[in-house]
Amino acid sequence: MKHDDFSIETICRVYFGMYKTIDQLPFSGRHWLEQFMFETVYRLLDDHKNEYQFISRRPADVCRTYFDFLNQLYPNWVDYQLEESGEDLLVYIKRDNCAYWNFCRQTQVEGLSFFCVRLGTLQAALRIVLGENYSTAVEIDEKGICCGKLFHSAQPKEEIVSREGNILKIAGRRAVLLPQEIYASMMISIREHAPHALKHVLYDAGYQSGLYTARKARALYPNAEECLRFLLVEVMNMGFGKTELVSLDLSRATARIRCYDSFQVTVANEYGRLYRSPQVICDLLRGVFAAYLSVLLKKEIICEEMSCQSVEGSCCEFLALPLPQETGREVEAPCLEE
Amino acid sequence: MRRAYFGIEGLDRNLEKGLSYGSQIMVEGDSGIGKTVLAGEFIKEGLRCGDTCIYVACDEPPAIMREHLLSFKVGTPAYEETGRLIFIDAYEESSSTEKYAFLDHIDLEKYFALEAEVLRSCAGRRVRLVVDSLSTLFTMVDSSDILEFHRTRIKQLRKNGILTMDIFVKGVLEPRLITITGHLYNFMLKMTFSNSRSNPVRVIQIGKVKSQQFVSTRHIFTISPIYGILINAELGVSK
Repeated sequence: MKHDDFSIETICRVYFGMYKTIDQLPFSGRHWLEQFMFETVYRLLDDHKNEYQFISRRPADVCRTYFDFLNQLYPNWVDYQLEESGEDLLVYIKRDNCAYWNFCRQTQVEGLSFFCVRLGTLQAALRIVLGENYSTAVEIDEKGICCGKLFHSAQPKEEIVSREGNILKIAGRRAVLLPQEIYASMMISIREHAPHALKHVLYDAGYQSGLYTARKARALYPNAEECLRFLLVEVMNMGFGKTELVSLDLSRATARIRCYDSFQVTVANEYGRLYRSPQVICDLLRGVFAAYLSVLLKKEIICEEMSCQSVEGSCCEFLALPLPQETGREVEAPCLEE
Repeated sequence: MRRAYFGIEGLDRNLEKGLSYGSQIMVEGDSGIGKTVLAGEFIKEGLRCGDTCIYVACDEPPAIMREHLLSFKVGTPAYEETGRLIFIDAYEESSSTEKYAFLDHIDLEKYFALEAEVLRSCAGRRVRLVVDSLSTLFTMVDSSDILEFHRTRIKQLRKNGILTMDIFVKGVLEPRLITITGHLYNFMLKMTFSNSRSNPVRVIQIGKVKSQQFVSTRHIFTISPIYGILINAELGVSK
């Protein structure tokens, strides 16, 4: 079977349309892209079941067999190198030789979720052939080589926000969608009757809800950075605002996160300020981020909003650092076990 | 122009237009009444408003204020890392591990120089300065030196737009000195326990010295370990 520029462009257009649509759907994300890859690879393998043979059950061999089968089906379709690193699989693909490079570049330009098609198909093949779940991560080095990693994941991926019949759930806990009017009226009411409690109520609410979501995500994504990125997409899916991980230093347990168009800023702009003076107001998000990082980094993290879009600038910026202890040691996260 | 508040609803209600940067606040209060808690509220509010806050710890090590702020879920590490929260240790003397420490409690000029150095490092920013307590710094110094130092310092702080809170422990300095010093401040807060021995009540007065008289509104307050200072009731205006 031959592939030509037209068919590659068409496939990329289909992928692009799909990625863009997924980004616009509420409560969607990477999970659905992985599901789509799974179905595509499953169909491909099923349609050509007499043209390949997975003799070895070693994950690296499964990947090689799958790519070799693709190259047999479509000559020179994948130019790759594959290595084993402990239980992880490392896949190197020259960017210029990848049929999907233009598509990847376009998704980045448009700010869409990044999910490597190549690794996605390997992830699907491993699940189909071995029945095992793998996560993926990709780094692009300066020489133009995509360095992909496939690593074991204990549980199958699933959406943090799910619907079971008429019950909506977030991280397995019952949830409810509220229009901003309800949130605003609750805040105005607290401001009226207990203004001193506002920040505490919001921070604690964010922290407690963040703990549930982070615990659930941690089980799905063992890699802390990947898990944090996943959770930040979930923050957007839940309507809090568009988040960006500016930096994460795992050795120092510090993170800098930005949020564009925070929900709380919009509410303050439409329903009036909660405080007398212009100040940072996104305490709910502050609590959420503190909880996420406390679970992921396994020590108690405190997060501050250093600048807020409600005061100035185009985004809110949060800085998270470990909670210090009297003796200078950092505090381990308490009560984080389920 | 940007205005500032204490961050305590019951008190801020009294400041219709808020405090202007460059204002000086004198806090005088009984020992154990909650002056440091009030300072903590003032700093918390400043940090949330984007101000740079400088805390001069004279009566206890800076670690106590750090812990106090952390207990209110204020992320001091983030603010210290970004230079938005600065501690001057005027307690530990030679054993201090802080970046800024005041070692010679007899020499007010040295204090003045250190304070000026720290303030220079914050040039171009909105700054809140809290000295807790200034009366401790003054205990070893002659009254005439205190007044000279104080006039010069307040003038400088006003000129540089520094929002300052100076804390005085009641009974440490002579009443005459406190009265003269009080005239230099834009606002005064007096914190006292009420006379009832069996059930002491905390009272705070906020006002200004006008024509030799302290005109203020009086409020009963409590201290909550979660919310800090809570103003419970207004007791009216007193002179």
